[in-house]
Amino acid sequence: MGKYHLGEFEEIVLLTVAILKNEAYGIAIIDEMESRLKRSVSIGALQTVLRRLEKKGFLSSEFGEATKVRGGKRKRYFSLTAYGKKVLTETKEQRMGLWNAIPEFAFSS
Amino acid sequence: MRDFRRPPHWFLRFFRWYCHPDYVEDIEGDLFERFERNITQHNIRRAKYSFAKDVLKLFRPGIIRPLFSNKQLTDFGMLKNYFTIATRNLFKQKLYSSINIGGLTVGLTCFILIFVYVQHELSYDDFYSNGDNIYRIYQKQEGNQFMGSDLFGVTPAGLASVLTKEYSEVVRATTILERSTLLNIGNSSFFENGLSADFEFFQLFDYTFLAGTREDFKLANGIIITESFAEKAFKEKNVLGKPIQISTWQGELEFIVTGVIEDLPENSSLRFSYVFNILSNEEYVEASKSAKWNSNSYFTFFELHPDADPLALQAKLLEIVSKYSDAEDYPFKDTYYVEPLNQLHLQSDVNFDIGLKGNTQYLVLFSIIAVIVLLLASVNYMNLAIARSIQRAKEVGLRKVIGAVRGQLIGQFLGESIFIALMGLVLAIGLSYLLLPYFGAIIERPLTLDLVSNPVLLSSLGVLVVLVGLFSGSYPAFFMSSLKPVNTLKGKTTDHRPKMRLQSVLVILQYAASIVLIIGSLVIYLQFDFIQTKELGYDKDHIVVVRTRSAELRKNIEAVKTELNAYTNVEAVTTSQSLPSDISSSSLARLREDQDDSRNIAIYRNAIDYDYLNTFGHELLAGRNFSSEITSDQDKVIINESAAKAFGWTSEEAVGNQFYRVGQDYVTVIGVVKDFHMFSMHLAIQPLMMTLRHAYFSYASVKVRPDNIQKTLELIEESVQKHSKYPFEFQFMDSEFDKLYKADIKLGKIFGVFTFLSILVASLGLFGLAAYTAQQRTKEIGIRKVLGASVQTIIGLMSKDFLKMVLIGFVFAMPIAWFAMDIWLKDFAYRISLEWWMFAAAGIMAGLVSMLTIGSQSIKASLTNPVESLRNE
Repeated sequence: MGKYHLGEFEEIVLLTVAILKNEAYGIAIIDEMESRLKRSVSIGALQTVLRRLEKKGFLSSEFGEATKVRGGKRKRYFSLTAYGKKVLTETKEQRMGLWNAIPEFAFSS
Repeated sequence: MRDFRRPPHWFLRFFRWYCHPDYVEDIEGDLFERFERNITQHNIRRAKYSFAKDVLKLFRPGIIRPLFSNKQLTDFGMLKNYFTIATRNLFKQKLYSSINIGGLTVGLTCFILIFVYVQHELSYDDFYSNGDNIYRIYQKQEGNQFMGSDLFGVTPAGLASVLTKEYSEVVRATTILERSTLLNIGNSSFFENGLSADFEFFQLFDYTFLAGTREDFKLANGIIITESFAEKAFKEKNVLGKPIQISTWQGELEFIVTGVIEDLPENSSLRFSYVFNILSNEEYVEASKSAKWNSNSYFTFFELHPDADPLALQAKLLEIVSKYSDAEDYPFKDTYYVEPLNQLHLQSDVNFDIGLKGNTQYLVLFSIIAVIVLLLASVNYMNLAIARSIQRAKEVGLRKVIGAVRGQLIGQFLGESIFIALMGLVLAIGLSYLLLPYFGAIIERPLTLDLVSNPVLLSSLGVLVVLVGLFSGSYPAFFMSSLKPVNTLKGKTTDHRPKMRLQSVLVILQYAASIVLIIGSLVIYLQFDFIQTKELGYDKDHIVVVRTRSAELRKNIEAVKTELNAYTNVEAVTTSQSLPSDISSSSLARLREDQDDSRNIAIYRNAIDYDYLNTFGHELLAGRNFSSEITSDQDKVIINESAAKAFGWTSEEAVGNQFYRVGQDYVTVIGVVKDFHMFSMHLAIQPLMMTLRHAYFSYASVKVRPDNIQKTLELIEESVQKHSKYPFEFQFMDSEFDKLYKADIKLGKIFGVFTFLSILVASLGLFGLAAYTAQQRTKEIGIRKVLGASVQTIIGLMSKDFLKMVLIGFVFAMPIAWFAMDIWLKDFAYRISLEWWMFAAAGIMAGLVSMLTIGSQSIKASLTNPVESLRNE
């Protein structure tokens, strides 16, 4: 299913959103990625990808309640759509298929 | 302290500016959250730095707002919808549409006609390549009031050469003399406007030569003619070197054609068919050679160096007068003024001036009227649009519900009014093409309307249409767009009061303007009537005036007189220097020679013969007429009442008394005539003396019997033309008299037309408004009739409000009209006074017009059967 080709970063973002479940908003996603993957992510890079994924229909988003922190601005929570889940699963299966196809000796040596 | 903890202001603003509006809130929240965390974890500097870095990194395609919003895509459809709605409304409401468009068409037509006229007047003499540097000199003779002005266009013969020799900033100067005379070519004679000028004339004015060169004009007997005159006179192309005989005061002189120039443009104020060399004129040659200036009848034009200041030159010219002028002989102090060529046409205060003259007063007055008519038409649109706003309230409500914002609605309504104005403009341009020849004929200008080659007019009209559209559409647009959809869709009509008040104010203003114009027309008409019927002090009826240019005719005049007197239909014949309606020369006199100059009075002169007083019916108050039997009468004078008064005599005392003519001798008064109007009524009657004429005179006047005038004219022509090669020029004295008021009559005509138009436009508006009100009140009237109201009551009810507005308009108009017309009348020495009944008449007329306008609608409304009006719903 090459049509739904996910980039490496896109895949990571989708996965992180899935991990965070109901708490997936901008900064939380960055924190999660930074702590798990030890890589620094700029807001710009993340937001662009989030919007792109949303446009493609992999993610949906909604505003949360306004709070006193954050300059009174609301958070936008992202969540996986059914379609997003499907694509993510398919990607995983493709990878698994590839992993499984590796002959044993190639890794053991 | 708190400020300190805020993120960098400019970066935040930058972010808000570029970010997609849908994303701003949450991303900004993220930025803040990270910033706040950075402050607690690190320090403020680092936090700010990282904020800035994030903002810059966010500046990428996915985040930036789109350059063009997708609203753009639907604009065309919306415009199409606006257009459809506008045309539907236009056709649905034919009456209002035609009132609106018709009114604007009239207003814009007035504007176009007057714009073309003003543009033409201002374009005079703009075609010379060095035109911006050409000036002329006129003089002011302090205290020498002549026909109401002490400015004179004429200058001494030697001025041009002194200017070029002594003032380095003067590039060249030319001397011109107006010489319209008889040209004999072969066997035919031509009488045309012409000039004589020196060599520099064609160096200064860059007319295009079709044959010959401008250098050839050096020849003292050279003449240069225009293309059309060459064709008319010679009927062939090759005319260089051909001879022309010209009648001059020195007798008949032969000239040689040395050049042909293109015909003069219509907007040239110098008008001539030929220019011959002034060196042929002995008087000029002598005067220009003399060290002291002793002549004063030439026009001086010169070209100034582009960098030189004309006012600086004018200041320097003060010295020139004392240096060259023969001050002992002349009692008035001369001052020379420098005037640019482009002001020549509209300069009308200078006596004995050269060139075709325009009228500044007209320009200003007509421009004001054009703007008024246009405003009246715009106000119509505004009023009717407000009146109809209720019908379109639902549309506004619906548009708002669907999501139209106020700006869009304002745009829609303004667009509609501009669209209407544009339709008016198209019709107005067509109408202007049709009317321009007539308008041109009234104001005697060859006006043309050529939109393609007239970018100024075209762009002005473009701007004007937008302005008219904006002005007339402004209130309706802002009012309609403010309507609340909840109310309009519920069918609740909004509060009427504020807009009724504005409508009333507008109608009042319209009527005030119209009434001012009616009063103006009335006063102008009454003043003309006053002039026409006022006792003049001489006869102007049944007198044929013949211009006597021919020297041969003048020589043989006694024979001609005898011949004419023999005809039964001729009552009397006289010859004179001037006509009683147009005395055009003056000199100075005082009671005794030993008095000083301050006692001088200006006394106008006419030279007459023995039959003059009799022919023109002047009344002698004392003394006697000149007599051919008393030879000493050659040195005697007859004066008018004003002259007697000026010398401090009664009419009886004057007879036999003497006064001193400055620079000459004492003269004895033999008779005093009753004062008569010797100028137009703009000027007061002045002292006058009449002497016996010498060999020269300008007019022969024949008093004829009223019957069979055509035959008498033929006889006169036959007798006169026996001795003259000049064309037979004759006028009836009463049309000579009308000529004095030509400008005023033109003004009256045009003013009348504009008054009519403005009343028309105002009435159209009122009619529309009345029709609308009647329609709105159909149910009310029905109910009133059911309850027993009579037709009269209802008509009264309908008309009352409108008449009240007309009345208030009248109150506003009165002082304005009084003020304006008093200024106009001040220009007449003999004038009517403004009476209350003139105002009342204008008011009643305006009232009647509005009654007629409203009446039809009111009657229609009151006669409607209530069953009809109450049945539906």
